[in-house]
Amino acid sequence: MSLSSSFSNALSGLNASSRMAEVISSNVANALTEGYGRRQVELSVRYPFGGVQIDGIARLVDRGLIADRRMSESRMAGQQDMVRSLTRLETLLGAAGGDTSLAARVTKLEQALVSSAGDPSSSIRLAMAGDRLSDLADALRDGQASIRTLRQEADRSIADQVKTLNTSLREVEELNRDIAKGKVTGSDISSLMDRRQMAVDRIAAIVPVREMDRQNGVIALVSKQGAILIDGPAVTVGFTATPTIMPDMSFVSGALSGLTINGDPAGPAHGIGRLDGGTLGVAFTLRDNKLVSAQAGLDAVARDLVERFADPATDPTLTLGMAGLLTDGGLAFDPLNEVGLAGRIAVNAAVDPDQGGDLFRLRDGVGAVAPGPVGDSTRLDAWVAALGAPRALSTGGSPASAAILAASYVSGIGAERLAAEEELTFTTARWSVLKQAELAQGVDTDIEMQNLLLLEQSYAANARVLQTLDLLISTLMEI
Amino acid sequence: MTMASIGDLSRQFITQRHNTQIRQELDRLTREMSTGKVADLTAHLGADQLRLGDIDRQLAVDNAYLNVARNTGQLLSVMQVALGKVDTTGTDLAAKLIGINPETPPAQQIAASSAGAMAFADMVAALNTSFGGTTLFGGVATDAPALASADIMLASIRAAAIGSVSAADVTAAVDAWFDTPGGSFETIGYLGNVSGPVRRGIDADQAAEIAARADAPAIRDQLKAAAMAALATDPALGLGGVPRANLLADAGLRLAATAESLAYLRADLGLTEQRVETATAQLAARSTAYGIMRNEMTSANPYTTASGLQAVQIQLETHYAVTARMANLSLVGYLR
Repeated sequence: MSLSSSFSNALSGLNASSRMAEVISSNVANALTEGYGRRQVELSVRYPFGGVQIDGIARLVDRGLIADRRMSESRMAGQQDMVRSLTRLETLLGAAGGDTSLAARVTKLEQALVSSAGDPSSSIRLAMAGDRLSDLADALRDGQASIRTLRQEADRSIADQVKTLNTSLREVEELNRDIAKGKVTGSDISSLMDRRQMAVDRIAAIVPVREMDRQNGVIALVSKQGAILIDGPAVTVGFTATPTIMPDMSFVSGALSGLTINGDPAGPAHGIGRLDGGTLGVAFTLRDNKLVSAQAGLDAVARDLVERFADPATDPTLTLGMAGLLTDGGLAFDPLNEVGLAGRIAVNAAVDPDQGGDLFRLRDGVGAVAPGPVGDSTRLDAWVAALGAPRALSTGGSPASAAILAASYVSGIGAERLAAEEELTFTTARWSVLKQAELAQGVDTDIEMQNLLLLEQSYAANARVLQTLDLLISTLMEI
Repeated sequence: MTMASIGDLSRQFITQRHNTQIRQELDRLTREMSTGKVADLTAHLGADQLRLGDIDRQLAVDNAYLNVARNTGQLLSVMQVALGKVDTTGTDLAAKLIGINPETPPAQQIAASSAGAMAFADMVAALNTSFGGTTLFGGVATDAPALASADIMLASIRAAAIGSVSAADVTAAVDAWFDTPGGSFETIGYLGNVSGPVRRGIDADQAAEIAARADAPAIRDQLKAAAMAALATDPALGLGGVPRANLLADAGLRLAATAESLAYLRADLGLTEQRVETATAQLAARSTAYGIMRNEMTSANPYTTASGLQAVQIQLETHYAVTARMANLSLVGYLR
């Protein structure tokens, strides 16, 4: 009786040792896998005769730490996207102090006009002034094109993220089912939980989520602002991409799409609804807020330039309603039509030799019929004075010369980028502390090696016990 | 048995982040070292970005104004030289003409008259000077000569004076030719523009106004005197003896009387020259000052950058050494 129970005890010991070896091997193999929860075998005494029984494989993760890290990661991922976009916008519009910035182009125009006013008979100087005027118009149009590209990219990014979100939500739903099944039948679900953790991490970068426990190891996911993403079945998030975005299109006007959850609009006021806080929210902010105000600022700068040159007090050859040096696509500027002006701005055809005009009109006025005295600098002086006169933008602010208005617009975007970078630095520092703490719970190969040493010993000891018991029984048999 | 453990990945995570941070700092310092300018100007200047924009604009516009001021200064000095030529021609002619009386030998009178014709031609040539393709004395019409050629004008004056018998007649005819508003001088003699002075902007709120034109009264008077002297021995008029001598003497007196107004014209031009010179000096000084300010705002202090670079280099090397050592500190290595 006791011999056979000794056998059974020793066998259970060997069993436990080999199971522990399996777990150790799995741990060591996954030492570099992110999202792998360190496994540990839970042992306890077997009831009637001693021996060891395996209660289960525990997956050691600190769920609170992971939840904190996920929230921080959502914010950080969103802010990274914001900084990236703002940096691109700043570069495209021309950073402060640069040679190709919008402000530099206005200054170069001013310079060329001063130079031409100093020798109005010089056709070379007039041509240079004409070139600089075209460069300025080009810069404004390019700026508009950049903003439009960034908005379109934001829209495309939303579409991609929604696709990823839906895929990951389906994955979590499936894994939930498998885990519940596994829990009920008692099989090892640790790897399924690893995969589910990775899937939720993917979701958390897009939309910040909170995990809530349900029965049998199933989780529910709720967004930070309270929208249910998975509770049993997963929701389907919908979005219609708009490949070409014109300046006047916005979510409010209905031209751009917002998110739908299971077919219902996520939020009437802005397209994101209660899914804000991650990269998806930032993409919407970029598309519908930040870039739209950048667009408005650029249009205000363009309008200011058009109006400076269209004033009949500056150019008496202009009649009211006639387009000045800079036109809105060839026509006079209409104050009701300010949105998108920067993309339509053009040099008046009457002044541009490439469009069939003549440079003498830079000297004599846009509406001049024939060239006047070649040494007359009145009009050119007037253009210079117009560029230097203090005027305020239609979006508000203190009056300043044209170059300063352009410079403050560009440096405004630079300041936004700086602020976003500072926030990102702070969030990244916080995230790295949380991430480090989470990773510290991972596999430590030193500990596994130590356990392996103990295991060797334990296995050898159990085997020795078996050997001895075998000897005892053989001795008994020989009687 | 659960023991406190530290996952392998956490150490690698920290090491990687430190590595990236140090390398980024190294890149930034290297770039600042080689370009001499601060890497991220927006971050460096913060709220001062607008000042930089203003400085850049001032520098560029001042540069253009300096150019214009220099050009205008040169233009004005050429104009002064031309007016000086007119002045000396007039003075020389006056010297020949004053003192001529009916007793003067005819040869001398003839010589004085042809001197007058030459003086007229010289004055017209001086007034038609152009500088860099720009006519100087024609007002804002700088692409055409200021005065018609001396021959054309003299022919027209001669035609107007035909039938005169005394010096007074000739004088009256010449005066009428030159001074009638809308008369011959203003239609066929002066070819320039009459609308206003030539303005050249030499600074933000300053402009040099050049009012000296070939149709100024002082210049007309000089031309009249030279024409009178030229016509004294003109065969078409056929003046002889006393009228001829009187005409020559009157021409000489006229030259002497109007020399002062020419001097005033030149002085006026001189004032404008002085203003332009002052503006040029101011602009140059301002450009230098702004240039220094700009450098202060945008250049990276080489001292700070160099010592920073050295410190970061040492930090990186230390980091590498520690990473290598820590890689060996694993139980696995000792279980072989």
